[in-house]
Amino acid sequence: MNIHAKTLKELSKMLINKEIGAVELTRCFIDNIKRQDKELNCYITVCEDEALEKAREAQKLLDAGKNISPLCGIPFAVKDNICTKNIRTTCASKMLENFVPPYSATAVDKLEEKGAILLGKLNMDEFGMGCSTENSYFGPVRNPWNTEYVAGGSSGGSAAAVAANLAVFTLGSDTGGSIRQPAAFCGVVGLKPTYGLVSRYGLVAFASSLDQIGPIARDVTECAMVLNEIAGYDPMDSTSVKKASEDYSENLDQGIDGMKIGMPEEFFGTGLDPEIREAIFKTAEALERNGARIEKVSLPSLRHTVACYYLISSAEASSNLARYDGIRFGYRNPYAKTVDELYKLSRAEGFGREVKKRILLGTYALSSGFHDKLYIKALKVRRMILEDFNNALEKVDCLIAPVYPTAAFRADEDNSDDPLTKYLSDIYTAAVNLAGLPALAVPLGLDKCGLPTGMQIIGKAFSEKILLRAGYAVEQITGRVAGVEKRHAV
Amino acid sequence: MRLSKLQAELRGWKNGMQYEVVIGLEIHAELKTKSKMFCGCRNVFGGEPNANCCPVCLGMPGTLPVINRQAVIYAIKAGLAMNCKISEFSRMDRKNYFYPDMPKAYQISQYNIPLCHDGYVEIETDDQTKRIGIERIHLEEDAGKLIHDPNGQKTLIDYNRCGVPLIEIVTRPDIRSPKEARLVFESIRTILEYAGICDCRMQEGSLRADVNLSVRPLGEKALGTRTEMKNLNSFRAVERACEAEARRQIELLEKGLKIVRETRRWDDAKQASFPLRDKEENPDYRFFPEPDLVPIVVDADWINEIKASLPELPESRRKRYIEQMGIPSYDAGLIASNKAVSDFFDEAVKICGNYKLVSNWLMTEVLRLVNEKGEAVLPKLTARRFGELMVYCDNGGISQASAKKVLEMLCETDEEPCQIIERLGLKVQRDESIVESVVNKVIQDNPRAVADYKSGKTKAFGFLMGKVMAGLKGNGDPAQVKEILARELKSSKD
Amino acid sequence: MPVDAISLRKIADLAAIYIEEKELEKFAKDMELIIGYMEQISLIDTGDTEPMSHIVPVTNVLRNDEVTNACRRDELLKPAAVTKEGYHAVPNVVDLS
Repeated sequence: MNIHAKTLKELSKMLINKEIGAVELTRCFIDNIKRQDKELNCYITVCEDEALEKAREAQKLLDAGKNISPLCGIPFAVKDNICTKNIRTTCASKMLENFVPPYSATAVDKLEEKGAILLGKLNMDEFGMGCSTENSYFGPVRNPWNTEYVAGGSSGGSAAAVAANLAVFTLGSDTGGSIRQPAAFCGVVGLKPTYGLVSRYGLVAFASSLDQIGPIARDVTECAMVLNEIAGYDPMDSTSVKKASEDYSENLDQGIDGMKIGMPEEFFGTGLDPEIREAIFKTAEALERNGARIEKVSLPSLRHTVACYYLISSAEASSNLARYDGIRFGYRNPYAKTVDELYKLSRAEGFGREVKKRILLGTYALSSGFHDKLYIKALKVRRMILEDFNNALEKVDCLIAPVYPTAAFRADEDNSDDPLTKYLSDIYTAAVNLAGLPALAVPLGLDKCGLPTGMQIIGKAFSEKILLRAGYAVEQITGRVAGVEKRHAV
Repeated sequence: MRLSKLQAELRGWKNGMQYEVVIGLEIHAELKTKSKMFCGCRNVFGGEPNANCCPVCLGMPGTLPVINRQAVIYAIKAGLAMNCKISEFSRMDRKNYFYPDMPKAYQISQYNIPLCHDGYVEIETDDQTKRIGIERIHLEEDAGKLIHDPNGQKTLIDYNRCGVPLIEIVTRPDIRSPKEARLVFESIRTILEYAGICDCRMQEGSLRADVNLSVRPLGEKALGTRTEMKNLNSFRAVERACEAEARRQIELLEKGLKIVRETRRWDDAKQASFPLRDKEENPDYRFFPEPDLVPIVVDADWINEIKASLPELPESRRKRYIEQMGIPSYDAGLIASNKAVSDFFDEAVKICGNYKLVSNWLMTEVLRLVNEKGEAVLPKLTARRFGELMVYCDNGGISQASAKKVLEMLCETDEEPCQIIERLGLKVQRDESIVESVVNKVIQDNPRAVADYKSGKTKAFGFLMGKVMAGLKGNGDPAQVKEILARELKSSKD
Repeated sequence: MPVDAISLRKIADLAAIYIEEKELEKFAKDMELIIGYMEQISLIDTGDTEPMSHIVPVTNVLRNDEVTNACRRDELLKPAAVTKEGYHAVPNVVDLS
């Protein structure tokens, strides 16, 4: 079998047993990137020299043989909105096309401390705004299953890279579904952790109260292993939470006997693709056969999700993106004669269209005269949504739900006359961010077109272990989605 | 009752209309923490531009703020010192606007729920105590500094000051004259100094005041349109700017013109204010709660802990000096207006209980030394040694002139007062036999003066006194010398 | 709410983004659709629900008052397009106060 298709555990064993060296393994992945990525466009930056240097360092750790993390020597990549010291971090925007941060995100530091090898930075929708990775200054990401289709977004590059074995695992970010949706589109596993579980320091902010960094991997076990390394309190992030550390990869095979699983009735109506509904229902039945209890629950406030999410996320984004003015970093209009011109032209030229729309929406929602009616109102609806989730999760251990109304859609679908449809499709994922809860996207199989379908498992705050256990059970039922490797195997 | 020129004008304007001036102050004080408000950069004035900056205070992508505990404590201290209620629950908010000294294009401040609110300070005007309401005190971060590039058409930015913790103190519009405005500002500065939270160096910008001023016809309840004035760098500037602006507004109203709500910049050299062209009136700051920070909860235990760390405040000391020590009001106010001086005084009177004597010496000799050599002279003197010196003065152990000499020397040396007095032989000589012998020697050596005195020339007595004092090396007790000289002259042979 | 070119310009000014004349119409139309949808939130009956501005159930996250940062000026000036003798630089600002 192709080395790229081996599991994280297998690769770790091979490295420890000296069946392969860290440098050799890294080189394999870099070669794979060179072979495949022209077509897929997952990577904005590949840091070949740095990666090989880090691989040499990792090899020293492996040779020393003490306390070796299972991630030591394992090649990974991160979404290009996660800062990496001395390596270009662009957020897929012209605004940061040449920005080289002098610091790394805490999550990246943690992984590198354990000896994981950073291969490069992954393509995404600009500043995290989008659901297809077509809003990228560096071109769209193609779905490895069928390159005429999108990889999803905004962590499209992160999900596609895992699906195409261009990295063993990746980090993405999720503000309204940006890890889960591309994971579902690409047939891989993606986790949005509880808000506060993973440090946001170094994650370029889109919506501060919604953003979370999370792992994307080929199966639930690998996802859990990565979560182990990146979770935890960070004194540099005031919103990260202090709690006792857990081993998320422990007892995944415990099974789901007695687990109560809720299915929100609002999510399975006519808006959902019938194939996906069918796949989720079938999975639910199988879970029942394995000892779980499926219950219907209702979350009536969730029909207000899209308006609530877009108002809050755009409001925060309009403030978070105000710092991009070309003065201390980033794109700077060279002809501006006044400070006013400098701001307005640099930002007009540096930001893409979708980003501008969100900033305008957010500015409007916060502006005097509309502040109470829109922004404050949205904060009230947010609490209602959280209360609905809390009520439902008192009766059940977790919820299962779709991730997106459809599977991956065709690239270059022209929606220029309809700015709303894509927004409305966030209905299943964004509510989870509003409530700050964890959610795990797991693949269910392929649809009639040969494209992956997926679903998400949503839990109470800090209940990642339950989600991963349930996800593992789903994996046993549906099988690890193999296939992409076969297609691209050399 | 003396009126200021402005007050006189206010009372009798041309067409008989009388006006009232309504003033509110917004004071910004930099907290003297070691590190900045939200990051571990050094909080220090000056230095190479942009040397005390990090990705957080530069607002680089992905960075996050973390609140400095000491800044919260200092802000609560300020609130307690100004009789405020401390909010049990408060939070930070974002104030959004674009300006090159603001890297994030928002300032992390407090809007809806400030840390402290509803307090007051007291000032003495015309021998009456007036209370000025403090509406709120909140925490925020300072911005960078903009400097005009002399060599080009550029503005240069130094972000060293960016992120330094500030408290903003907002008074209620209870102030009714330019003089009151100055007194309020001075009073607040002294309180901040006492609380030990700000070094109050106006020339370095660690204490700044903005003035909100409006006028209205006397008796009118509604407030007039107000203007805001910035760039007031001294207490006098505050007073002068208020006078000028009140006058300017009244003149406009008298002409039938409207006051434009605007921000003006005070030019101390020109003694006038000018509207700031770039400032938008009624900017829309789009305040919303800072999502990168969590709320601050202050419980009674924490408040009590902080309260206990506050020293006795100026107002309380001033009253104590007047009521318990009988010190005149003006002197009491002056001593209490400076913590170092007041602490020094309180220490000294523990040793010498003659309050009036000690305070007189403090007000004259000690403050003179402070003016000459700076406040650092106080810990050099030490209050204890000063107190001991005062004891000598109090019981006539040394003369005034000698004491002044000793005081000067105490500034330079570690010696004890008794050691200096001993070494220089400054003790007042009261041994009768010694004085007598000197007196008799002087009488012997100055026959003409003696004869003059005996023939009625009283000036000669003074001459002879001087000779005796000189003979006693200045250590004679004037009263005793006079007595003995007179006695000996009487009994001397013609 | 109808969003025309004028009101869009106002919002764009507040957001410090310049929108070209030829783009204004199209942007305004898009924003009108988007805002039109979002505005329906004001019709929702939220009863006496309080606004939720913090989800993390934590308070008083405070750091010790210590200087932990060394001078990194040259490194931190690097990402800037224009600097001068250690300063950042912008075109002339009127009314420096």
